[in-house]
Amino acid sequence: MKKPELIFDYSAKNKSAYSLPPDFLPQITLDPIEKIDLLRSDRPNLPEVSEVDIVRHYTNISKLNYGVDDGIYPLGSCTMKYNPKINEDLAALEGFLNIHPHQDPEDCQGILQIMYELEQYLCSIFGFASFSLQPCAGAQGEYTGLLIMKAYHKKKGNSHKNTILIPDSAHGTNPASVTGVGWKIKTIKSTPEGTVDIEDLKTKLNDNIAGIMLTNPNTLGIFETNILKIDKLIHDLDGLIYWDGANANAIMGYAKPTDLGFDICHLNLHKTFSTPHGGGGPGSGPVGVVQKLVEFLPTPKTIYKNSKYDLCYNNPNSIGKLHSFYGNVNVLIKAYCYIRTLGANGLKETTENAVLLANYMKTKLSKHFDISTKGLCKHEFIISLKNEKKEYGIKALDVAKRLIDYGYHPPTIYFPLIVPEALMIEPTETETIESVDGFIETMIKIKEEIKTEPELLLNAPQNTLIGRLDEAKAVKEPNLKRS
Amino acid sequence: MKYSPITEDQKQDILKDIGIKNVSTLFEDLPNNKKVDINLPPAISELGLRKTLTSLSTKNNCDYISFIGGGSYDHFIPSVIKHLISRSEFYTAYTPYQPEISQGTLRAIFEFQSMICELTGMDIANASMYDGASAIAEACVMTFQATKRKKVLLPNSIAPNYIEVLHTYLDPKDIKIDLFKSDIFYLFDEAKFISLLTEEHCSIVLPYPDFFGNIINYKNIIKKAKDLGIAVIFLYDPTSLALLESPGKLGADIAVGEGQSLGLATSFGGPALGLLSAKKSFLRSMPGRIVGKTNDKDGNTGYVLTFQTREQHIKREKSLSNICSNQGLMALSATIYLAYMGSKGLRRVAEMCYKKCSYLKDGISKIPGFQILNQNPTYKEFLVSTPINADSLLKTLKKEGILGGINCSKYHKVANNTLLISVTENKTQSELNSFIDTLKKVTSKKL
Repeated sequence: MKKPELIFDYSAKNKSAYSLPPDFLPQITLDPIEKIDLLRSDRPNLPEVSEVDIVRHYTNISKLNYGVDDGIYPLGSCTMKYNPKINEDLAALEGFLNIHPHQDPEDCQGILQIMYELEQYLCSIFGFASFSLQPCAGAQGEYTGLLIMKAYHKKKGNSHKNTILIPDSAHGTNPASVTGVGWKIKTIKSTPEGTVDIEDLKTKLNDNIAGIMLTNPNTLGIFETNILKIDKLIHDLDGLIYWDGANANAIMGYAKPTDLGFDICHLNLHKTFSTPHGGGGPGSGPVGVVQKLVEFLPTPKTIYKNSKYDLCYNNPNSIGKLHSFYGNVNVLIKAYCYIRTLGANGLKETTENAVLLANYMKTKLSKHFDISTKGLCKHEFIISLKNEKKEYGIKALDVAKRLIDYGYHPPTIYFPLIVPEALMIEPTETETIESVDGFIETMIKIKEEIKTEPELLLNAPQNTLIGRLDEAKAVKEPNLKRS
Repeated sequence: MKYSPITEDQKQDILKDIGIKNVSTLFEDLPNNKKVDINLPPAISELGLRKTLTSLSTKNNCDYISFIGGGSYDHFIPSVIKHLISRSEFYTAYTPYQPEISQGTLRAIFEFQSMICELTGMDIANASMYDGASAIAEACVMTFQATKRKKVLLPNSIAPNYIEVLHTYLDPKDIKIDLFKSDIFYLFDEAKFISLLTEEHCSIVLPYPDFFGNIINYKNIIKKAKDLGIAVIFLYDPTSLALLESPGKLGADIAVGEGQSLGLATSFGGPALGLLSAKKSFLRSMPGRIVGKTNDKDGNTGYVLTFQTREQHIKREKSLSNICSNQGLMALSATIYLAYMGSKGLRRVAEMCYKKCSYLKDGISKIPGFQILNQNPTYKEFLVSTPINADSLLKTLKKEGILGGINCSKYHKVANNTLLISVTENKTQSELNSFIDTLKKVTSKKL
């Protein structure tokens, strides 16, 4: 008998799991729907399974996954830190789950207070004047931020400003978001060290520049020390400076982006603020702004007036709504809990330990691998396997797959694009020294294998249920739903 | 320190290994132009956090019998969902970019895509969008990409908050929204709508049911749209599709929905779940993640993120959408919900939503001064004109422990005494009767 793979494989005629009360309205017929020819003519082919099938199936397939709770997850740029369990419990309290978005604000004082206070905390940590908690992810935050920049320039009569500068090391969502708001991109080259080439930037400046999007520390884990110079160049053109806050874990308590000249930002609560990644969401991408941009923030805003929390819709210059309601509210509760647990000192220590551990790993691994950053890094660093590729024919992908054989989730591979055969490592502060040492040891072992037994890497992974998949076939012969 | 397990001794050893004297050296390259002062409440223990949050949760009052809908619904949520999505292998996992150790997430997404296609009758579905509103916006952009026509026609019988979100997404791309208003806002004027269709429209959006609960057969509109090469986008309620004909069979090119009704709590509006499915001709322009079935070199079946060249990490400024993280765990919840219900259970849910709605409509129509405004059959929601000011009626009902619905004058200037009332399968007969009796009681005094 074939082992069940999908929930559909457990189906049998007349098996059921649902439990619903009996129909006390047999006298009401479906005739009115039939009369307008809209009664469903076929039956959707959903699984016919029992509750125990459901529980077994999803329990079994969950074991084919690897989460932060399984082991170190050193994905550079993703900040896969531990997801505190108390935050899961508290966000699931009835008073948070069952509140309806259309209820009177007077019945929602608890959640509105959390949203109001969370906004204040984020302002304090990062220096901004106000935050919108509405965007559901970093990408939606970027889109929101760019719309705010557009609104600012429109108000100032800067209709010729239609171009954003983006470093070639940027995350793909940055240029994608710029296109999404109808603007153009000019790419800035990086220096051999991986930082913004300020001379190249200067050649790309003109009056059409609406602003620049920067990640700082950048996507190589290096702090852009020229930031204040860059600020002046952009602000002199009345441009705005956007901070992609994906790497916020590296500066809390040590710098505020507003002191570094940033006018607007997004954060990733599912990175820096410990909310779970969920296998692909739900996340949250709050957008912060300096005072001159506050009027453009999405609507509604959470306010505190006459000793009551409320939602204010009177925002005439707002860019509008991004979400049908107020964003991924339940995710916000978890970030709130995290900040209350750590406090200011805790967040500063978080940054310190994240950067400490990254430098520890970098120091140990630099004896065996080519690391682009020669000095100290921030919370992440990149190994380049370009030499191994040349000498042994082993690529970053092969190392990643071999790590899987040793029971590890691989680091981020092939990002940023400017480092060839990149392997980006970010331990985060929630790792123990033992788990970090284990990963280091394994990487050193794999380096030996590259030299002496490369086929172990080329054939990896071998210890998982499936090996490398034929991704070309998935495109050539699309099979995107159960037939 | 909480959550960071490195001890002070270990820190000293690490500093030695790195070759620096203290932690501050790691941050020397930051400009010390300003002192960093973070003003937060002092850190609290887990016990303190529990007390604080519990107290905050009690400041939310959910202790009513609620008839509020308007895009977020109070459905029955099976217990198995929270147990299964609380498995840390699901919720603490990252995006499944390494398929060999992500088959759990990938199989579940493939199941989700399959189930959404079964419900909607469409060929392909993605792994989720943020919510129904952003999903329609991206669907409109898909049709613009396909035809390069710059107008979308939609009736104002779509949820008002959705129309706002559509503007935020479409205005910057110079895609114009033609907002169609029927003379009487809750009576959809089909003939007038048809007369407005032109070859300048890339798509039309048809709500199914609409914001007022109306179930409308759009076949005449769909025929005219097809004649003019206009794409038809259905905005559907996912539970209704167990009862109503699928958008695919009715001729939809793209079908978009809000998946909150599939096992998600109302949760003050989020996280929600955007559902996007379409005809296979839209595969290359569909945003979001898509999972496909393939195999490894030994012939073992495996599931993998596919057609990634559509996405931002590859196409960058040329990608059609910037979406990266979506609503993964909510899609998993919906998948478990649909497996739990099956088509029979979902049909029961839909029939009960329809019937309880009919029952309540009937009961309210018999109260002096109340009039049901819908002329179509309705699903899960209906409009009532009230004999007294809707706001004051809602206030009085609240004192009786009932949330009576949504005052439509929030959205439509003419509707001063109009309530949008929602009923789902979770209402008992006595709750429905109690609502009817209370309405009778509180208005009979005033008449």
